[in-house]
Amino acid sequence: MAAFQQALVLVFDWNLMLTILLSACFGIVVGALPGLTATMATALLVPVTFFMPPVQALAAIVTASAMAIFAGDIPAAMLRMPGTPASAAYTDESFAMAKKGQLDLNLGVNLVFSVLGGLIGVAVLIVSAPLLAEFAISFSSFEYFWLACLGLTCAVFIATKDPLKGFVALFIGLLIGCIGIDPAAGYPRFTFGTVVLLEGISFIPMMIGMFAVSELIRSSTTLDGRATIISQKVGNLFKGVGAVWKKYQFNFWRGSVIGTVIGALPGAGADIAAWISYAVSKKFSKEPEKFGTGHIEGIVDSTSANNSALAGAWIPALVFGIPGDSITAIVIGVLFMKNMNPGPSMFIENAHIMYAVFIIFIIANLLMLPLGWAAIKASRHILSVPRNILVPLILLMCIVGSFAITNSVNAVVIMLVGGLLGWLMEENGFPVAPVILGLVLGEMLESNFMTSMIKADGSLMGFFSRPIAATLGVMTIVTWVWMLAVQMKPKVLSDKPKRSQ
Amino acid sequence: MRVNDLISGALLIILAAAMMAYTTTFPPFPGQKYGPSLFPRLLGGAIVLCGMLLMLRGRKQLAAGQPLGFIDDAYRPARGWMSVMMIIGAIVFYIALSGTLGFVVTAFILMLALLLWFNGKPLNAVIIAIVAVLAVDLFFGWMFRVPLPLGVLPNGPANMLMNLIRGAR
Repeated sequence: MAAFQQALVLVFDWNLMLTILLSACFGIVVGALPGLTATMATALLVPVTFFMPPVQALAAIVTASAMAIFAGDIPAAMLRMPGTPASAAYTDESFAMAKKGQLDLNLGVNLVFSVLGGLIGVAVLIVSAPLLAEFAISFSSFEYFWLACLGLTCAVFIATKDPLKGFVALFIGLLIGCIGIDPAAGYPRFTFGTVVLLEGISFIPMMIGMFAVSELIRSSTTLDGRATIISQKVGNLFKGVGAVWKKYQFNFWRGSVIGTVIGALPGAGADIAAWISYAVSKKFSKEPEKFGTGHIEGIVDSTSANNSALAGAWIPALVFGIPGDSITAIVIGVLFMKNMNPGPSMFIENAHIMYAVFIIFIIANLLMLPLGWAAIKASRHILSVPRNILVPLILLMCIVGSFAITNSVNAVVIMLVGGLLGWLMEENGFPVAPVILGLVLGEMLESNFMTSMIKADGSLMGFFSRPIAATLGVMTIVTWVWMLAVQMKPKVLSDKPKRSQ
Repeated sequence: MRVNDLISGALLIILAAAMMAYTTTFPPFPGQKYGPSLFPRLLGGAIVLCGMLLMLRGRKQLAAGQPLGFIDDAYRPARGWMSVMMIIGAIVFYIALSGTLGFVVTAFILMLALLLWFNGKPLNAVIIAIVAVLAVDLFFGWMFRVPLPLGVLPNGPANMLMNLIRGAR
């Protein structure tokens, strides 16, 4: 309880409240603008959080990402363009509702159910994370090695259309992570004799390059100025939401639970949660023929799911240090930077910070109601900011943000390389999120692997000597073998570039 | 720019081979059987495996009539690929000149060029560029004390502004 009181003191501080408010506004604007994603909001925020104490940094990321996921629903209904990929699953449905004159109801439902879904996800996080941490405290390097393998495998398998290319991306990330001092023997690897590479590839400039600069390069070809906004006045948002709640309460619970679980799976985030819960909703609906014609049912499921997924993703991130989606991958990088190694011991050593994160999550979701309402009312102005002005502004932020991490122009070089690599990779159907996962988890994976090798004296059986390790190991290997078998089978492949969240 | 998986697979195998050749220069871990080269070599093996699978797939694509490489429609028009070059060029420009010219001047030229290219309205471009550069300088340079290169403006506009405010008090 002492830790909880400490957490309250940490959270109810005007400096932190101001951070939450500002990052909420930032998240809403970035989320509402099509083409700028929640991951990009987080990536752009990280250089700023670099200068903050840990709780403040986490608060900024939690708030901005939650707001961005909701705000993505606004242009979906108004422009038929999802603000973030997490809204893509029900963009057509929302737009069809708006065309039918139900814009108010659509946005009201999106807002209220985003808030409620988010709160369910947070509740699951608060209850399950400490329990899992207690269980995980007895894990040794063997369990962690397999857990990291399984997590990374799942990340590639669930989140990418093309697992083979996903694995290539992951291995490239792990390889980039090898640059610099190695974690076991302390030998400088792949530095080509330079001092610059001794520290390794700085994670933040790389991430800004891959998530933000590559997106700027891609979108630079399609800057057609202002988009046409549906000419409908926004009225009373909350009218009719109560009736929807009564009729589709079950859909809300189902969507939130599916969202949290998918969010907690490594690699799959809010966008996949929304797609799956929309599909589930349609499959089990009493009136599936209405889906696609501006029917609210599927929207209830999926708008709850994408916000609950956001909190769900923090469960494996905080307990095992294995990110649930690309946003928590960034969070883990930030935690390492603040010398707080994510894992079960965090719940003992830094319990007050954990509680503070939980409280901030609740505040952020509650704050979404008034701020989301205001954002919808002001959406006409937010959406009319021309993108051809935004691109140069964001580029400037990327450059300065990268520079600020190492105070040298080398970081800008890393950012440029990351941007070009990310752009070319996505063009060719290689997802970029696994690169960042590999870069963040590489050191943890390798040091657990080397520790295990030394403990087991090189015997591979050592990796299966403990019951939990053996179970995880067998699961991992079965997945690998199965994936290889699927790869060998000939099939038709689509080569469309996939966007990260 | 998209290439056939045959090419990306071959590139990956070359990369992995070069990387594994480099690991032979790593010293062994004193007193242990495994050194710093073990993990990169395992990774290299995995990349080679993926590269071979990709090449197999690429051969099938080639047989199905897919070209070895092509450029997407979006980048075909001169304006399309010039826009891409503007973004990349702006970053290269910053890397090359920010040290000598300083942050404020470099960033201003960069913003002005990009805004003129993408937005086209000169007055807008000048105003937005000035405001953006000043805001960034104030936020990062003054508030967070990031040592942005000063270059030809040794005092930095945000510093000058703050000194003015302090002086007025």
